Amino acid sequence: MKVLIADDELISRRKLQALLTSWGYDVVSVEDGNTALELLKAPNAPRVGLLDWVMPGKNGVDVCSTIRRDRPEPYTYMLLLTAKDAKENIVEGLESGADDYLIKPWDPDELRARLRTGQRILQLEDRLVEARETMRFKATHDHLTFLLNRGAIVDLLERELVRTFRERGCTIVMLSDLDHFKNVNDTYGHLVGDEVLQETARRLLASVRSYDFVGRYGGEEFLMVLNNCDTSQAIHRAEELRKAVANSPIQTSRGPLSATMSIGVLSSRDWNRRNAAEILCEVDAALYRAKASGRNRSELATPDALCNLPKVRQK
Amino acid sequence: MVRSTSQYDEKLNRASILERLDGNQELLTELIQLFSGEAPHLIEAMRNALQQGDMRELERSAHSMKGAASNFSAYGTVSAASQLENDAKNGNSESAKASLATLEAAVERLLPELANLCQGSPK
Repeated sequence: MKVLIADDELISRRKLQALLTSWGYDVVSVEDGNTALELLKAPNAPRVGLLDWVMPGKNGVDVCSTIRRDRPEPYTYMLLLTAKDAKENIVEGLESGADDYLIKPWDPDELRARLRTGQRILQLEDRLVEARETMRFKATHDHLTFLLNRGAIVDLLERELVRTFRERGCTIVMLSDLDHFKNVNDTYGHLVGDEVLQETARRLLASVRSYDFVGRYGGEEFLMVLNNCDTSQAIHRAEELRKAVANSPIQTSRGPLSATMSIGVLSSRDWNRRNAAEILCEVDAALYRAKASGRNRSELATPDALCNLPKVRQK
Repeated sequence: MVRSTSQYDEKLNRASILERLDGNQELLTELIQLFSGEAPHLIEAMRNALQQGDMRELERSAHSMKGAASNFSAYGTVSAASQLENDAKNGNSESAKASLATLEAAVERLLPELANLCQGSPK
């Protein structure tokens, strides 16, 4: 574990460095608070700081309060080392954001034990952050395809529409639906149906740019949000996605299966300011027209074709 | 102002100093060598600071000397440096002059004591 030592006094700094190294820590040592702050804020910074209180530049307490303000995550465990031993000093040190406090001359066994306490707290924090990130992923992703789930992709569409309107840009929205997917489930079972959905998701993701978004909108429906894409490219881009699915059969545990999808396409530039619900209504109507025109094709939503949702869509 | 120097005599306890270094004798020798090289520079810096009336620099150097000497539990030098640090903080240059003289004497007595600790280290 990497530990930063900040002490302007040579002998104390060397002593700390030698002891910590002998205890197996990876030590970075600096002579002043400004350098300490810089290193503690850097990417891959040491997670533990041992700071002398009195230093030129920023002192140990300044370093603590600045790190707490500017770098909440990942957590930095900070220990103040100082000759100041009045109660007010201890309170001030801890209030500044230090986790612990050791009065000089300190005992090596005690320092070692306190460093282990720090490590324990950092491990606890890492486990909590990891658990939170796992939950965050699960809350925003579909558990079968690992694409963004419906809530996440619709939120994202809403944000992108606002942004693109403000920046006078253009966002392409596509809603696709696997053709006759019910037949796959009925004929081969749901497990094979799941395999088709997973492979379709994989092909869609592989066919868009790294900064485009693909979400699972419903059972066999996928919603794509492509930024900075011109109207003239809309159908072309949709056709690329359609072909990515249609052009080669999907390998399943029951052998290769052909799959096709129909796509409704919309370019935000063709429409005045609309919210996500309105845009989804229009692109869904275009998808319906693609289905009605024979499936395995893309249809552009244009303002002259009004949103007119049928009660039951042909699959 | 004349101060008794007896309270600044050093009685170093090798065993307890080593305990604070996790029993590392090589480190003790290294730190003593570092201190012997550093102490004259610090004294020099304090003299210059006092001469130029730079109380901030004097306070800082005295604080460093205090910290450095405390690693050897050299309480005579530590308390002399502490006195000088306070004088500098209070801007009391008259008292600081006397304190610096006391500190210099304390360091002068400390250095051979430390050298003895090095020689006394069992091979």
